[in-house]
Amino acid sequence: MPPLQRSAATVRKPAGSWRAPAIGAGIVLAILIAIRALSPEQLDVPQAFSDFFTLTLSVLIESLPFVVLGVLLSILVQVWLPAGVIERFLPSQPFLRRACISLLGMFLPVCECGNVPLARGLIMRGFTVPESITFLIAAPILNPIVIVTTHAAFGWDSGILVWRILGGFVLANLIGYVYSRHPRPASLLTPAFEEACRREEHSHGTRVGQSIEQFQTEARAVMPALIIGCSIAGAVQVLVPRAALVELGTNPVLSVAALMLLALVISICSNVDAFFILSFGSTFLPGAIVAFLVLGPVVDVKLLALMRTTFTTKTLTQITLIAVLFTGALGLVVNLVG
Amino acid sequence: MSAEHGSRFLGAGLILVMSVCALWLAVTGQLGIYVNPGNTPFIVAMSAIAVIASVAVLARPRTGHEHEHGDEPAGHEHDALAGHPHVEDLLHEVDGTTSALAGDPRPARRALSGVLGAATAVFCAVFALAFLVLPPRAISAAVAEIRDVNASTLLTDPGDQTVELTANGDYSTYGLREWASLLRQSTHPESLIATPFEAIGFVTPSEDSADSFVLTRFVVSHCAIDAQPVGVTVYSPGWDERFEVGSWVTVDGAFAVAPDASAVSPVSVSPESVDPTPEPDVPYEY
Repeated sequence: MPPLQRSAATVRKPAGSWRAPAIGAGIVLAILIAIRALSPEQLDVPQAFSDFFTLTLSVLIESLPFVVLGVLLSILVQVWLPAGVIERFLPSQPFLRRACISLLGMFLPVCECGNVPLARGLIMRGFTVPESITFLIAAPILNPIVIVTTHAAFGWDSGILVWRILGGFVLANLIGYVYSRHPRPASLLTPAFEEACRREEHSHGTRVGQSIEQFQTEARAVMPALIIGCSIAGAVQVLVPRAALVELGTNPVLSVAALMLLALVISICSNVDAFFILSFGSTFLPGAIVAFLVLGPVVDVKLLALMRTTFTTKTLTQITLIAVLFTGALGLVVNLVG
Repeated sequence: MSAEHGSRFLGAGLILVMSVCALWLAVTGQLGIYVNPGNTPFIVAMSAIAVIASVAVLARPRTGHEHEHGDEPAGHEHDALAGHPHVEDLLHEVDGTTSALAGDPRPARRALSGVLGAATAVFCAVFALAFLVLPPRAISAAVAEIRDVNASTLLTDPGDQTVELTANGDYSTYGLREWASLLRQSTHPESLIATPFEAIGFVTPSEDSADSFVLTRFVVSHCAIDAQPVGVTVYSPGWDERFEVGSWVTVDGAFAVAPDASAVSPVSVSPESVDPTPEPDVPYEY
């Protein structure tokens, strides 16, 4: 896909004034607050639904700030950063360039949910699709918050932290390399996102106006996917007994498979997944823990729903397959070496 | 408002509803039902920004440019949107599941795209409405049973604060997490015998004995999805006739030798009283 650079902006005056829509928006906000304030404090709903809804909301409330942060960073990258500010620090050799891009998360520490809008922003800015995928996969692991929390949870025990960092870096660059060989990388994108990129090329108006428009575009793409993904994650929590997975924990092969399956379904934020999986630390072998910590931030049900806003089903199937095979092999190697 | 406007504003509207609800929970002190209170400042800050940005989207007047181009997908004629808009066109970006289908020239797939897009939009709208009107509720004892009480290494994590018996016998600051940790970490739990115990929790069945129940609380590290149930066994024959699983109770008593020799822990609580109590406003420990 050729770089999608913004054409020279032609400032146009708004067709309408701000007054009426602003009053309308204020009324909407007031109505929402009033509904929330007047809603009943007690209401009998079935317990299973209540648990599902609470667990879904807990993931959603946890994820939403990062999604908003990701959208804001995406706007910063697309609208406010002048051309060349990021690019000038990147090597031109493709392999080295992707290697550097996979470390961008060290400066843009957003968990995996926020990285989806940010990766979309990078494509709109002119990064190639393989480069954006490399960033998307690496950044949730190779960022300072995740490294600090993983160290806080495991220290240097069994090399889990080192394996996680190395595994994330290699996996991201492996997938980036695979797609760099693709004859038509633009075909990896959904038609809707391709169209959004084309519209972005012809974006007009002030930077503030473009920022608001971009917030609207990203919110429209990401929010339904986030709600669907969180709902699936919440349903899995209610329906799947963890004891069934824990029983597999001491087998070198099955333990890796069990925690990979858990990583795919649980959809926990990469900033805190180390603390979560610590609770399985006495049951599972280190290779299984590493597989969980590398696979979870790359593909899980919530993240796949979010990534589907941008990439085709075929692309996501391929990414999932590569990630599963790679993390499975990594987990087995760690178990054998350890 | 037309379907086109609805599609344009769906994402911003969802963010607005979610953010208003998150702020409401924070203001009313109920955010802890969903996430660890340590995350509150970040959630409040980003929710406030999200409200401002969403209101700006809703308040932004449509420009002449938008009237010219609208949101139509590539290759669509202008009069198709202006005249008889198809729902699949208008909802083509509602979610990624449908977006690939929307660009498909085959009518059946485009129709499927429209149905999926509309279904997604309706589901999200209903979900947002439910968030707005349903009262917040903590996860129940049913989740504790799925997750295996005291399976967590939260209780033995060497990086966690080590819990020790206090010298002055004041255990007023101990929650169920501290008591469960103490029992799990101690090499001689018998040293706890005759130590006074008082705690609030909900009732879950004990695997050791039908005459005992486990006084349980969830410990939340980050959000309710990672909630780990921890608890202390209470010997109370006939408890299941007085309390339903999930009932909140206050237990007052002391540790004693567990009557069941096959029990995992050699000590359990011998209660002087087990009284029903209301569920705490924030029912988790952190």
